[in-house]
Amino acid sequence: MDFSEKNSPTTLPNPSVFAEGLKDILSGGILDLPENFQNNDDLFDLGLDSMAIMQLLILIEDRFSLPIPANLVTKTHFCSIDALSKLLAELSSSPGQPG
Amino acid sequence: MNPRSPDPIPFFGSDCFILALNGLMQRNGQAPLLGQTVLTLAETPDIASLKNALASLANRHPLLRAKVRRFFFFPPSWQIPTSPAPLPPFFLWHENASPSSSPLRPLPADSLPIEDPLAFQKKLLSSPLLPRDEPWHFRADLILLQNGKCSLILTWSHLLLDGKGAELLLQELQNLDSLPPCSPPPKNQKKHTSTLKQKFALLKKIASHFSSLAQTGFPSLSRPKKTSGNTKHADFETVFFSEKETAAMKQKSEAMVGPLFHLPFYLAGAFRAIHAAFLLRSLECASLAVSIPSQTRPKKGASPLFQNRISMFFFRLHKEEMLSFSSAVQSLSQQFAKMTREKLDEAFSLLLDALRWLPPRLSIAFVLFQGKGNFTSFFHSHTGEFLPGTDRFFSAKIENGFHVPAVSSPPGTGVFLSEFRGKTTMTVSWRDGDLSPHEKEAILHSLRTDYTLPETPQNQGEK
Repeated sequence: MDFSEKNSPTTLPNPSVFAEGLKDILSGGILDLPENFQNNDDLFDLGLDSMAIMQLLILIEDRFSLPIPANLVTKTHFCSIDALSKLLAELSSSPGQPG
Repeated sequence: MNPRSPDPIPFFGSDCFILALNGLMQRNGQAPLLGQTVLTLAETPDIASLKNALASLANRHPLLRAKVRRFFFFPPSWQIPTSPAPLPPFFLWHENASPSSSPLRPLPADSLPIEDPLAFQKKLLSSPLLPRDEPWHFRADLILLQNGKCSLILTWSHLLLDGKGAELLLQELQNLDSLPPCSPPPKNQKKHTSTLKQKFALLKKIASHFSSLAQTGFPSLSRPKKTSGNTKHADFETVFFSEKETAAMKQKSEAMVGPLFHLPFYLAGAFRAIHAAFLLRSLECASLAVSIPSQTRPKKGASPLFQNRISMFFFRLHKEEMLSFSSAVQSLSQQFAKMTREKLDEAFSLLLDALRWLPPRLSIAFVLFQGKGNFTSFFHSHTGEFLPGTDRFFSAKIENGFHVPAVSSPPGTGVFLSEFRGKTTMTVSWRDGDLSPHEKEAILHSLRTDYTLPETPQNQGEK
């Protein structure tokens, strides 16, 4: 799905738009998500380490056309799918982003 | 089977590979693949509490003395014992005082003397873990050193634990009172979400990646043992970097690969160090390739301590790329991005799952055949911060903590790093006969230069 076409750069898209995509990326080999996984579960407790974050950054950029600047790669932004979806929603609505 | 016995715990794909590797090592006169986790303590810990905690830990985790169960053509699994745990293997030693010195502390009555703690540690790493009738997959040795400090050596079987698992075990050991009851280990393998068609496409990708690696080859420094009776002992040298050196290392890494992901930096140094030894042997080496574990271990949840929960990334450097540190780092960063996009770690995890169904001897033969006698040119890992948030161990201040993994031959060598409170420890491991003293020195010199010194034409020209 091309999210960049759906989201207007002037309105803040609903973060849930990104949640399913993120879950898909994470479960595709990066983390072993439990069956009862919730979007607010702590990703660091599930084993998210620097290698996994790097993989996530690359795959997010490919999937959503949204590069995440290094200064935004923080524990707070990467602690859960909910937090990361919110960050992506903000990034996609900020001027200068592709799409 | 006894219906009251707990269900067996299935092996993960990477466990099966270690099982197969253990078999190969034993056939080649090497002890099974062991690792050590070492704590340097500023003073003697509370030994009575440590012993009690070990006994409780043994009851909490029957997997620590589980047997490998094989049933016809099914993948291996762990058979959990139902009997109460006997006392786990804890040994107390003291470094023999020189005749002129007086002991710094009263020695416990049950401690035994040893002459050379380092030689003792190496012997532990080279021998079977315990006598054959002892079921344990670990042993703990506490050595009271002559200088008043202590060394706790946890030696563990790689079949059940890895470095991160051993750290979690130590953490659990001293927090047993506050821990919730242990949840049962996972019964199922990681479920791959892809469809059969997608799985086939992934397996095709990894097969093509391997055949590309095999084209240029990936030799190792392993040498055949000289006589059939000789065993190839595990050997190692540990380098303790100061805070200043560690800070320089991090600064250099950050300038080259950014603040987050340092793997290309440390791996490039290891590649070039092993290549330096090849150059000393005047061996033609078109490229080296290495398998790097990518952890899929949850920190919480069902039994996060045990088993090897990894997939692999396979990196390769051609000899031209190894001529300069910066070109090596750059190439590895690009390879990581490419492998991530192609999902090669997931593909490798699928391959490991498939290999579970092969008898271990056949699976290792298959892997070695594909790699023309090798499966990696060397071993490498950086396990990151050691025991984050833990400063004391049974009342004794922890001065340092690090891992000393043994390596199999092939590949015969490995470079391992970890960090404790701003100080990096690096262990270079090898098998007896696979490295000459001159080659070992070349490896250590190359690592020190690449990791800590600024990039200059002089540094590059030394290779």
